[in-house]
Amino acid sequence: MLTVHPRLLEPDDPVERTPVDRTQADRTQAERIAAAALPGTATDTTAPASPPEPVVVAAPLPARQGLGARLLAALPGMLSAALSLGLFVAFWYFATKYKLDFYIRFNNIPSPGEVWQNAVILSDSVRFYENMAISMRRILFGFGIATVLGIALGLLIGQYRPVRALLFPVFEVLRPIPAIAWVPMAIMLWPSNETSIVFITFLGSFFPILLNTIHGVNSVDPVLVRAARCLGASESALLRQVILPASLPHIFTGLAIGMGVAWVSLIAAEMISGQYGIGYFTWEAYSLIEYADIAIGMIVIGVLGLACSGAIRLVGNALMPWLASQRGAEK
Amino acid sequence: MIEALSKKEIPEASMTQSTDRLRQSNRGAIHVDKVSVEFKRNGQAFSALAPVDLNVEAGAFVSFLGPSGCGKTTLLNVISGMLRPTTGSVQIDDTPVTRPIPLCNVVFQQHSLFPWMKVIDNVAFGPQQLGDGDPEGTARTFLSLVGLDKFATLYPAQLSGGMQQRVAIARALATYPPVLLMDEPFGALDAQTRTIMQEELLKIWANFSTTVIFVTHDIDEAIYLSDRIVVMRTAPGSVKEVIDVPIPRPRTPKIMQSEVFSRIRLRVIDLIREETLKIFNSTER
Ligand SMILES: Nc1ncnc2c1ncn2[C@@H]1O[C@H](COP(=O)(O)OP(=O)(O)OP(=O)(O)O)[C@@H](O)[C@H]1O
Ligand SMILES: [Mg+2]
Repeated sequence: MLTVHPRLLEPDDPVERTPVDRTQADRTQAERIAAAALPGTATDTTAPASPPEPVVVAAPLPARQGLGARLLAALPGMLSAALSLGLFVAFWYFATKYKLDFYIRFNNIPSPGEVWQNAVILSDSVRFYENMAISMRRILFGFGIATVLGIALGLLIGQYRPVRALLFPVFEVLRPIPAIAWVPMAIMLWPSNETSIVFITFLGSFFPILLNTIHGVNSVDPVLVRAARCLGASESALLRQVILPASLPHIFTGLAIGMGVAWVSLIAAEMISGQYGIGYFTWEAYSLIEYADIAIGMIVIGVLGLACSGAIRLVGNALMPWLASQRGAEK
Repeated sequence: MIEALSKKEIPEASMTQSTDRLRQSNRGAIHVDKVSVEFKRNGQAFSALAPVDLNVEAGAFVSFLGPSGCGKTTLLNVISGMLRPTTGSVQIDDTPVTRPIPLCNVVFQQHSLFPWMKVIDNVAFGPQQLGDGDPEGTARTFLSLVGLDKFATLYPAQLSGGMQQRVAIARALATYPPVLLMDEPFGALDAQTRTIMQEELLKIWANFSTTVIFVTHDIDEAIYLSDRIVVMRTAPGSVKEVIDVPIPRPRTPKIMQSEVFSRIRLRVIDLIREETLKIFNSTER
């Protein structure tokens, strides 16, 4: 197991290279060498035949199809999705229309029509948008802080044994406690309702992010770490330029899971202790006997959650462009 | 110090006429002094390397041959400073190696490029760490040295195995290390690519007065490339015999038909067979 090594190049290190002194002479020489070693140059007469022009093995992108062709290809999938959703809404419609009552009771359940009517009314309500915005802000803070702390601590715990020894036991004890169980404690801990809800959201997403980051660091190929150290990487360069990018796929798995748990925790916290927020809106609708609004709250929560997960996937793809080419190469 | 590290001027003529096997180079001499390594295995000490003494002169091309598990990689790890020996010490030129210092870079068997960096950034990594003023420019120079300048902006996964190994060689050379350690660098390549890579390596090396330690299981490859071959004894690993390869350079694959070549080859096969039988018999019992 490779553990922490001291910084590679001390200032007094005899092998330290000074770029000013070195580059110029080296550059010109290296260029000459490069030119000489290249196939087909004059100095090269005795050398064996140069290798054939290399071929790119993996075509980076498939041939671009026309829009029409792509729509046509997606059509069966879209049709079956529409059918699936249509069947669901139809069942909902008939179950509420005939007030099915077979252990599960549809007596009080709002029909799709009622939900639609209320949705139209709500789409003019500033309060409703405020609730959405407040929930999104809580996610942004809670999840954002969890991301920063989870990744930073995960990298340190994964890479440095003493940090692991110090912090990991605490996290192991706290981890099995669901974020919701913290609600009463959080209300006592934090000065305002708002901060305690953000705290609950944070807690929910923190552990998946932390654990996946640690896992990512532990599964970095030791060959890459060796290569980096040999090439002169300092401890901080190793962490930033090798360990972090190598762990990114695992980190993003953690972020995706964390985002899901963040929403679970947020909605529960808003329902229990809340003022404002889409979870609060949904629970309040129940108290106010506005049953159609319950369904609207649920749908909005689902859509917002989906959008957040989608955003994480997009950011992930943008930060890890090499994965696309890897997938292409492995087929 | 800077003087010693900057590349030695190589006269153009030396490229085609350096027939003297042990070329004069002013850096990259390796002194392995009574190095032994013990690992813990199921709580028991297990001796991977018996005291190894070995001197490699600056600029030599030396191959390590020996049965699997005889400690070749372990010895490379000690030389590169990745592994602290249980006893003994290693010096490169006048610098004792006690931790990874950029005196020797390693080319591994495969998959050692950083998959998240484009080819050019992989090669620029070392120069950047060492404070090169223009890591990109250095990287470009070395990429063209291995004939891959056109592939600078691809990711490693988009290259064939042979091309990836050429990038790995470029990356290892880009910090002008006095010593280049290669651990079965062509082991994962097909036979044709392998042959071409061997010729390429010789061409590149002919222009870099770098000491090369080359680990392989391929006896022909070892003879074709090396000035000397170190055959290792196994369990625990140590130097069994050092064999000179007095074949003039530049070498072409034709030398494989020469009489010297077959003589050396037979000798090496004999030695390795002895060692392999030793393992075989000890596991049979
Ligand atoms: N970290 C380690 N812990 C315990 N034993 C090890 C460790 N590394 C290597 N060994 C043991 O040391 C011996 C030498 O291993 P090494 O990898 O150096 O062999 P090798 O000659 O490179 O083999 P190969 O040709 O298969 O690559 C082996 O028996 C191996 O099991
Ligand atoms: Mg090995």
